[in-house]
Parts: sequence; C-alpha cells; structure tokens
Amino acid sequence: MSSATQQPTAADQKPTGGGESVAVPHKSLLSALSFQNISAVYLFGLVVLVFAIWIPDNFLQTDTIAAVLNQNAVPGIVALALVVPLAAGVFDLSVGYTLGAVSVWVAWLLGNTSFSPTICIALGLLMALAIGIANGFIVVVMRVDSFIGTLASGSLLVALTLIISGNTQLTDGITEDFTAVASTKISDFTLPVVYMLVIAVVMWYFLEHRAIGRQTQASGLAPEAARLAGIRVDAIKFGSLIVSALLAGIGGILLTATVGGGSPSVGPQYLIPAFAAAFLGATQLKGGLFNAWGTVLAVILLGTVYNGLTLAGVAVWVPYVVQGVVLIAALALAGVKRRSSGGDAESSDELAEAKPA
Amino acid sequence: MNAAQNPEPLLRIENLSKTFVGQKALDGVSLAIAPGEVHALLGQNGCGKSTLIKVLTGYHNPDPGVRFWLDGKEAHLGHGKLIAEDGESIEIRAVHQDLGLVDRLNAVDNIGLVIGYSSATAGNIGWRAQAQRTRELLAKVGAGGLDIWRPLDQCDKLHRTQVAIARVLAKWETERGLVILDEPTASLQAQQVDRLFDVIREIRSRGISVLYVSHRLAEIFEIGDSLTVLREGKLIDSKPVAETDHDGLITMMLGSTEALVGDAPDPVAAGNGRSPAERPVRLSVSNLSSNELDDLSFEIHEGEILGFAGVVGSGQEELPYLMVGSHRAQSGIVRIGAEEHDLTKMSPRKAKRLGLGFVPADRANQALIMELAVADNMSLATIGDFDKGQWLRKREEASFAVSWGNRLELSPNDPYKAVGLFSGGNQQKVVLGRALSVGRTALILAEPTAGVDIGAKALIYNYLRKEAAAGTVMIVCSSDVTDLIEVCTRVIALRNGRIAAELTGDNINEDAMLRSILAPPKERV
Repeated sequence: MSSATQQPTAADQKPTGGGESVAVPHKSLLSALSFQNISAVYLFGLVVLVFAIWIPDNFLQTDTIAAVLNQNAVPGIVALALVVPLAAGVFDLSVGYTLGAVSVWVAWLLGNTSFSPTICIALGLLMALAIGIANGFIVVVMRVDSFIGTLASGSLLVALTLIISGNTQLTDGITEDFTAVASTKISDFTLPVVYMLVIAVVMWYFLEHRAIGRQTQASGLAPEAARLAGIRVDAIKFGSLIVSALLAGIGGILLTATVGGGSPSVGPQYLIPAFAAAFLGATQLKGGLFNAWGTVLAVILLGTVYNGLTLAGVAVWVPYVVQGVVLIAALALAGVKRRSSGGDAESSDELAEAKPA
Repeated sequence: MNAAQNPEPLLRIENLSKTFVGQKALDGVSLAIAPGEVHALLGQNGCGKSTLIKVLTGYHNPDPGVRFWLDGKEAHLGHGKLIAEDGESIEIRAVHQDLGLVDRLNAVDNIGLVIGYSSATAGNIGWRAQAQRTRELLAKVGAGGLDIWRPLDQCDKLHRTQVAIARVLAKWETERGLVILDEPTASLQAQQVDRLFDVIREIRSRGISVLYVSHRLAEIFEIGDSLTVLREGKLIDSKPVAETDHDGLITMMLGSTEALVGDAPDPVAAGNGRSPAERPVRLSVSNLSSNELDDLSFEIHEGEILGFAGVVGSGQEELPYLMVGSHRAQSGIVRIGAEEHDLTKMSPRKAKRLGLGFVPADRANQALIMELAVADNMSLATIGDFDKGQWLRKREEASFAVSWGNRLELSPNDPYKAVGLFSGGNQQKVVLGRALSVGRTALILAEPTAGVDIGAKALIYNYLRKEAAAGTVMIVCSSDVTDLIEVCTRVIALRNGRIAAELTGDNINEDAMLRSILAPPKERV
C-alpha cells in the first residue's frame, strides 16, 4: 500500500497493489449512435431527404456533395480555428479579420515582391503567428476579457488590411504556381477540403488523444480546478489563441489562392458561420465539449442546407434564417441537456452548509 | 432582559423538520422568540442552523407536520413573512453571511435597489432625495455618518454589514418582525463588533426581534437575551442566556464527545514504537506569513497527521492554499527532506511536482469538473503520466480510476459517468483519489468532509487513517472539529494567524479545541 503513494507516476500506480488489470466497463455503442449524441447526422439525413423530394433534379447530382465541401472548406477551417480557443475557455473574435489580413498580405507579397509562392505563404503564416501572439498577450498577459480583447485586435487588423491593400483589390502576380495550392483537384474535391480534413484529424488527435487536449478542455470548463490541479491554464489559453490565428491564416492564404486575389473587404463575414459551426459542433459527439469532428459535421450540415436552398432558388434571406434557427435550436437542446444532468444542486448546497464562505 | 419570559412569544414554531434526500437536516425542532429580544442560535457546523434560517426565510419548504404561531395565533410562512389566520403578519428577513450586496455599487444604490428610486423631473432619479432617504435608513441602524457614495468594495466589513442591515430593514412593512443575522461578526475587529452591537440594540429597541447566529460564544453573553442550541438537526435546549455559562454552552453544543467511528490513529503504534517527536521530520514550514498568517512555523514527523483548527480569519483556511501556491505567501520556506522551497514562489504546478496532493475546500469550483467523467477528474493532475508514446492511454487511465474507486469505495464505480451525477460524498472520494495519486510527499486537505453525509465521512476518516498508517503524512485544515478529532495525531489551534495552542493525544477534543480557537472574551479581535 505504501508503495502506491511512493510511485512516481499515476500510470504505474495500481492502488489495489501489483500490476493486475482492473475490469473497466465499456462505453456503450448504442449511446454513441443516439440522437442526443449525433443529432446533426440525423438532421443531415432529414435535410437530404427534404431536398431530394423538393428539388430532385438539381439536388440529387453526384457533384452536390463535392460542391458543398469545396465551398465550405475555408469556412470549415475557420470554424476549426475557433474550436481550440473555445475549448480552452477564450473567445477569438478576430479570426475573420485575421483571415482577411493574411489574405491581402500574401496577395500583396505576391504582387509586390519577387519572393517565391512558398516564401510568401511562409510569411503569411508568420503574420498569423504574430497576430496570435498579440492576442495571447492582450488576453492572457494584460488580462483583457477575451471577448472584448479580440474584438479590439480585430479592429486593428481591419486597419492593417486597409493599409496593406490600399483599399483596392490585389490581383497582380497571383500565378498558377500559387493558386495550385487551392485549385488542384483530387477527383471532385479541391485541396482545401483535404487540408480541412487533415486539420480536423490533427485537432481530434491532440484534443482527444493527448494530455494537452484534456488539459485544454479542463482549462475551459473549470479554470480554477484546472489551475489547482497544476495545469498551466494561462499557457494553454495563450497557445490556443496562437493556434486559432494560424488556422485562420491558413484560411486566408487558401482564400487568396481560391479567388486569385486579395480583397480588403473579406474576412468579417466568416466569423458568424464559424461560430455557428463550432457551437453546433459542440453539441455533437462529445456531449457539450468543443470538438473537431462535430464541427466538421456541423459545417457539412449547414453547408448542405445553404447549398440546397440556393439550388431551390429561395429568396436570399432564407438561408440566414435557417442558419440562425438551426443554431438556436441546437444550443437550446444542449442547454436543456446540461441542466438536466446538473445533479441535485439544492441538496448538495444544503449539505455543504458546514463550509465557511 | 426578561423578554424570554414573556408568556406570549412573537413567533413560535413546533415540530419543524426538513429532509434532504433521506437525510434529516432538521428533526422536530421547536423555537419560541419573544418580541424585541436577541435570540442566539448556536450549534456546530452542520447542526441545521442554516436550514432553519432558510426555512424561516422561505427558501426551503419544511416537511409536513410543522406548526407556527404568531402572538399565539396559528400562522403560516409566506414570502418572507409569517402570516396569522386573522391576516396579521410580521416580516422575517435575513442578513446572510455574505451580506448579498452589490459590492461595486455604493450604499445609495444598494438600498435603492430595494426601496426603489425617487424620481425628480422628467423621470430622472432625484439623487438628493434618494441620498436623504438612504441617510435616514442608515441612521435608523445607528450608521447615519457613513459615506453613502463610496462603492462598497472600498469600504470595510462593518460599513457593508451596516448597509446590509439597513437594507433589510428598509422595506419593513410591519411594526414588529424578525431579523436574522448569520455570523455578522465574522472577520470584524473588536471595536467594530461593539459598533455592530449598537446597531443590534437599536433594532431591538424598535421592538424587532433578532435571531443571532455566531460561533463566538463570548458575544452571546454580551448581546443575547435567550438562546437555542441545535445539534445534528435536533433541539438540545432553549433558555435565557442568564441561565447558562460559557462551559455549559460548550457542553450543550457538543454533547457527549463520542467518537464517530473508530479512533484516531495511535501515533506511537504508527511509528513502530517511537513517538512522533523521535521520528524524522518529513516536511517543515518556517516563517510563513501572509494576509492572515503571522510568522507560522511547524514540522511534520513521519506518521503524523497534523491538524489545523481556527475560526474564519485565523489563517486556518488560508494555510493549505499557501502551501500549494494558490495564494501567494509574503514569506515562508517549506522543507521537504533536504530540499528547501520558497513559498513565495510556490505554484500549484510546482506543488504537484513536489508530491503535495491537495484537496481544496470548495469541491464544486476548485476541485471537480462536473461535466467530465470520473476518470477524467481523477487523472486531472496526472494526465501527463498516461500520455506516453503516441496516444493517451485511456484504458490505463480508466483502470487507474476504477482501482482508486475500488479502494475508496466509490459507488457506482463507473469511470465514464459524469462526476456531477454523484453524491457529495462520492464526489469527495474522486477528489481524494486524485490527491492521493499526486501526494507521495504529503497530502494537504482543506475541509476534507465539507458537504458529505455521515456515512461517507466515516469512510473518508477511515481511509485517511489507513493511508497515514501506511506512511503518508497529512495536513488537515478544517473548521469541522470532528475532522480533526477523528484523524489527527496532533492539532495546532490558530488564532489571529498565530499558534494559540498545540494539542496532542487525549487533549485533541472538541472542548479543548473550541477553547483554543475561540478568543477569550477580553481579547476578541
């Protein structure tokens, strides 16, 4: 017994003695497939069914799925960018502006310098890194509330975007060498779809299968408990803002490559769909935790709805209504679920009366 | 005061019970409060005082079978009032320990939030009239001279307490009534306590009754007219203050000091026949100073469980947080073996590396992540140990959680169940499991049994004793003297940040402990 507490690591430690394995119950497969767990998959099926009946000629085409993914790869990357800071308990409202700033920065470099596309991309990522460090400094070191802090840094990025672009479209020097990073196709899918999936895999791996991910989730859910358990909550928040800026920067580079130029007006419009997907994604798979695959699922669901409605020729405002309603409904359901699993607050509060304030 | 002998009490309660998930917090309690008296409510932590207050203020519904009387007329509770059959009613209002004020606002606004704002022309707030009303209300509690425009977070505790009391009395619709003051003198200085007593006497002179809750027994003799003692949810006695004394009161509060389960570990047996003082020092702290602590030094020998007792503000509550670097010490050194570590540079992360397992006092906010599973919570501090190679070893982690669960009798022992769905006692076992898995040097426990039921308490005590016998040294800081009696081999009583007494062996009993932690009447600070 005493040896148990002398052991250097918890993994080696078997408090019941020796190295015998302890029976561990399995998670149920049934609950993994429940509506509560993957409602977006069922909703997706419903959406496909509705459009299949409504507009079979337009919707039931082999390229619809490719079109949805190709159109939503960059927004999907921005949504994934938000997952990490949200999991760590900070907002990054500057992702859209970061995307815009990096996009025009890379376009400007291509048009005004003789750097190769590779170097321009590297310099684009370097700018994203700098933005992430600045955000981390504002939020973690200066202790500005992340909601306001990243909103403010977003405003500075708008200024930067206008300075770099001179408020004009930058299309010079965008060669095919460069646009190939976005336009190359693998069967029907463009490369950004592949990047999005690779980012999702990496994010899933680190968030769910490495210690850093668990520590990130803990920092977001209960910062004080995490801090007292020896987790470097501040470092994790700082790092999460760097990750989100880098991913938004990748989104910006891909956008420049996709449209063949940098525009000072792009960026901000990516913010709300990204938040919608990240929050809807949090209601999927992991029971309320921000996660990569739930977010990808949400991007595909919201993208399919948008795509189907566009094909059906509805009024321009309708997709926005649907997006808003879906988001509110998903979060309301998640809220109900969270409250119902909160335990008997009254009695535990009562029994805790011994505790001094 | 002969108010207690008044034949017709203002308020009478009979057979008040309150049950929470199978546990009786109050069990057939009766209480009579005379008009215009200060009635002290006494008892240890967990005796049912808070529940009684919450029933009286309408926060909890009592179990069926209770009867209330107002002036001898059958009555019922409703919305902070006691209402008699004939429609007569009295106010019942409480000033809770945390005062319930908006600290960033000033007295005018805090009171204005209750009484409303007087309007001047065009619907603007008439600040002059508002200030006038605020001053009048404060004057009624003997606090007319306060700076009413200063935000409360810049004011001292007495100022805030006075505002809270004035606020409660501000919308007093009935002539008489009952004001409940829950530990109003906690962290007040002696001089401030005297001022607060003036306020209470002012209230009493208006014919309003006061139900006064305090752990400072000397105060009861100074301000109380009569008193009621509760123990484990039951009424022990109710009598005029003049008919009892300090020792009598302690006996009433504690009853016979029978042990809860088993005995505290025998320090000599645990040390292979050597007394603790002869054994090597495993951990020592020297010259620890902070907001509350004043140059505290102590040593823990092998096989010891060292307890710290003390009231609010004594440093007992702050000590464990200083030890693990959550609060910053002003000075202090901790020695572990041959190594010295500066406590002013301690951090929870460093404490973890040094093998200091920590059980924080506030389980819900400082220890557990309610949404996450047992295994995730159990491994929160040691998750890095499962992250070897390419993938987090989740099977190993779950098995680690299950084996700790087995050892601590976690029920149900399901590593994937969200920890928020467990009872308080089982949640505490998860916290304990985590601390034990870190604590190869020592365990530091703050309020280890706060909010856990008696069965889980016994289990936790038993477990700590076993763990100590196996060689883990522990520091237990608790406001619940039972914790200290049940597990500690030595107890240091803190008062005003200094060691007031050191108790060992048979001297670790509630009587001696309360005497040491409660300041004698004259030096109440």
